[in-house]
Amino acid sequence: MNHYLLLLALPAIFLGWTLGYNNMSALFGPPVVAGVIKYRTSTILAAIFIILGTLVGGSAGMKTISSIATTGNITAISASLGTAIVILVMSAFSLPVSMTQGIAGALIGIGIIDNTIRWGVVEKVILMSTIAPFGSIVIAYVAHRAVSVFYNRFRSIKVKGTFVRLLSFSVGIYTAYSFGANNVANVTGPFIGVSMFNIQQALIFGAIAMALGVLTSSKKVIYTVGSGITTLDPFDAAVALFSEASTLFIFSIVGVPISSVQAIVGAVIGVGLVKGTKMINSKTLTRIISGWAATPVATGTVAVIIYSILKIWR
Amino acid sequence: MSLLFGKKENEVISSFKRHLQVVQKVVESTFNILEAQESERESIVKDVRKYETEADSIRRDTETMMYSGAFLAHARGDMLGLIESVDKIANKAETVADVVYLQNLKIPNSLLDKYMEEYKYSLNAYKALEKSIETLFSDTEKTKEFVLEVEKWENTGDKVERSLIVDIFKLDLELAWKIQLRELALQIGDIADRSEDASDRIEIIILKTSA
Repeated sequence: MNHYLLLLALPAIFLGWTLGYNNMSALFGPPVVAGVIKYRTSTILAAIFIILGTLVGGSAGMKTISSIATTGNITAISASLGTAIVILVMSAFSLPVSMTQGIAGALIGIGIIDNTIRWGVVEKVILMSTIAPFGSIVIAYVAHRAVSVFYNRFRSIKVKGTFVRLLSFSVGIYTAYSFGANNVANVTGPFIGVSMFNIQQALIFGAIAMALGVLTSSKKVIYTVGSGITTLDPFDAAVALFSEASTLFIFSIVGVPISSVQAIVGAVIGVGLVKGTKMINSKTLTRIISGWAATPVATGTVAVIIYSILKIWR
Repeated sequence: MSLLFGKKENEVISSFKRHLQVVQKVVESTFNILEAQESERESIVKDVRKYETEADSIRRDTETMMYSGAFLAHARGDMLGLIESVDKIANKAETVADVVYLQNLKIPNSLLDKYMEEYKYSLNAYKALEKSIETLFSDTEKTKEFVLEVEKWENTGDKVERSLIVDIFKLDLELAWKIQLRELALQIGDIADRSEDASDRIEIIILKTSA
């Protein structure tokens, strides 16, 4: 990989960083806001386990690089850069966003102007965006009811605290590990397809970028997820995280990859619904959903602009 | 790992228990002043003050320990409120000792038994509170029983307090003396009231840590 190619790969590293910066909210967000885990401790743990997840479990995704990879280097650069810019802007508005949705929006945009649109991808993204939060809401609601029966059997407040801590730490670590393993293919994977990176380099650069992202993660986005939608006590926060991980796991078994951000937002809503619909802040929820709807449109637009400039420049 | 497996919590719990024991010493020492001779009162008050200072010091250490990471953050404020409300019981017992000692209060023999009875109920309320806090860290089902017991002793003490005040004002004494005696009855009753206040906080802690 020469210096010129490294420069071209910067969008991938930028995307990895923005992903960690925004999506930290889905890894340890609720327990951090509920005061179970300190922000700094959570970011360090997330960084370590994202790196481990990427290096140990990320190569499988790399070997079966998604349809994105076959699109050529200008498309890869435009999609990555466009998505990264939009994620950063959404973060400035304190909104958690899904990278998969962003990348898909960018590819759809480029596909439309190139007349190479893959409608299969469009359908998949719409399907994922719809079922993921609803699935997560149901799972969280049921999980809260079930786990609280177990939790209420503990007769010491010390044991209850230990249980909440253990659940939050273990599930947060698991989520960070799978986050690294599942997302690196989308971050640096496309650049293998266009021969900018070999698999080892793609894994290392992806891991470092995402780890740096979580280490500098946006507290505003974390607070939107952890306290903007509903008020979570430590037990609720642990159950929300557990439900997110369960949702990701269940959907991966049935072969439907879903976004961790959509899973955590759904999980927080599900936990909030246990206490009643009045506990849900509909204003914040509307902002988040609007952000999700706007993300593919925005990434598509930005990616098309970048793509057009690069094509002229080339 | 100590954060996960409760090493800090264990330290706070043992500190909490030490605080409860020292506050109990304050309350028990003050009990002795009621029937003590005037010559004995000074040494009892010295003991009361010594134990009260010790309780203050333990409370401060416990609070510092708590804020170094023991218990979940949202429970810390309530735990802090609990230990402070227990400490106020020691302060109240010290006030009782001061009312007797500083004002050189003479308790008429005809009222002494009732004062002793009222104080005993306040002491019982405190002991029930002590058990309710101890079980908070081991068995919250039992805690609820002890919280009810605190309430029971406080109510019983209230009845004795009212009857005592009636008796005081039936006696042929100077008005200032009667007011002093009434003040003593009210202060003794406050020990049970403050125990009940602390037990209310325990109920909140139990509710907040339930799912």
